[in-house]
Amino acid sequence: MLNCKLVRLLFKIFPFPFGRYALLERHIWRCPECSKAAADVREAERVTIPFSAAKWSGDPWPDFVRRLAQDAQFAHSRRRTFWRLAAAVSGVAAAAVVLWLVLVPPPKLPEPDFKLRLENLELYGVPGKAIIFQGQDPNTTFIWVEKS
Amino acid sequence: MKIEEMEDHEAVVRCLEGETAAFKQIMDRYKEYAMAIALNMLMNREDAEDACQDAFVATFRNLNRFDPRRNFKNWFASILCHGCLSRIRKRKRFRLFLGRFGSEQPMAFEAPSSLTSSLPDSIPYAMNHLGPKERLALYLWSREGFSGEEIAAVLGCSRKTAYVHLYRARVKLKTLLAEKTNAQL
Repeated sequence: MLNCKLVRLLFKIFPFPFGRYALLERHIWRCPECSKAAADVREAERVTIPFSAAKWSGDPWPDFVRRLAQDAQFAHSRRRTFWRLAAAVSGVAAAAVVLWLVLVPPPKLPEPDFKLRLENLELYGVPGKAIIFQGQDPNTTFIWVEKS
Repeated sequence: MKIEEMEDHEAVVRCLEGETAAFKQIMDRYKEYAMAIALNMLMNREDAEDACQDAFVATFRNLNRFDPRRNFKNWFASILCHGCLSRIRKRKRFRLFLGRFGSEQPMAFEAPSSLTSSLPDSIPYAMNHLGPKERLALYLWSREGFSGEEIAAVLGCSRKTAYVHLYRARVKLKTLLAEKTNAQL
């Protein structure tokens, strides 16, 4: 089997002198293993499209040069379009940031010495009384309101 | 390294040095080989010519990525093979798209008579029933004498997968030819 494989390989790749070539050929056609392998190859060869049918309708070189130029031009214009788009997007983003800064006023923070004071208190039209209680948390103030 | 490979490498180096015309030498050497591969995969001459041109352009653009330890012929064939496969995928998507509108299939995709008329009857019949990778594996094995490893390099898969494609192609082929022979009897 290994020997047959070797014979087929030699037959395929080496340009032997006619006598030895004929001997190899005779082996291939007489040996059942080699003969089957050769038949398989022949069968496959019969259905694949042969080299002789692989002819070009014209010389491909001018078309290749044209495509290459087109390709370079396309790549250049694609790069240019990319940069234009990137510039436009970043311009819009910058404008949006500026507008946001201008139009939205910053929140007013209470002054540091701000103190809570109730000047006038009414409950259902009646003057009321308030108790202001500051807890342990400096950010929380409780206000209790009741009728006086 | 074979003389052919050395000449390829030399041409690649010249191309990389800016001599575009050196690529013509590569193109002249492989244009028929490329066409045979594309025809076997796409079964359509116009598509095949387009795919070959795209592959030559892609090869030229990516020459700087070529590994000199690799065989240029196989590297080019793998670029072409991937180009053909993506064309087949696009063609399928387009067919699906047209199918949604209830149209029956576009005649433009049928193999033109210019190709089929010059070939034996069994070719379109048998080859149309094989997948593109199977057709390519069969072609490379039978006509180019490629080994499993070389087929794998072109298809971009493992050696075992390449053998599976080849095996399936041969089994399908035997079945189809037997069916055809029985029908003729």
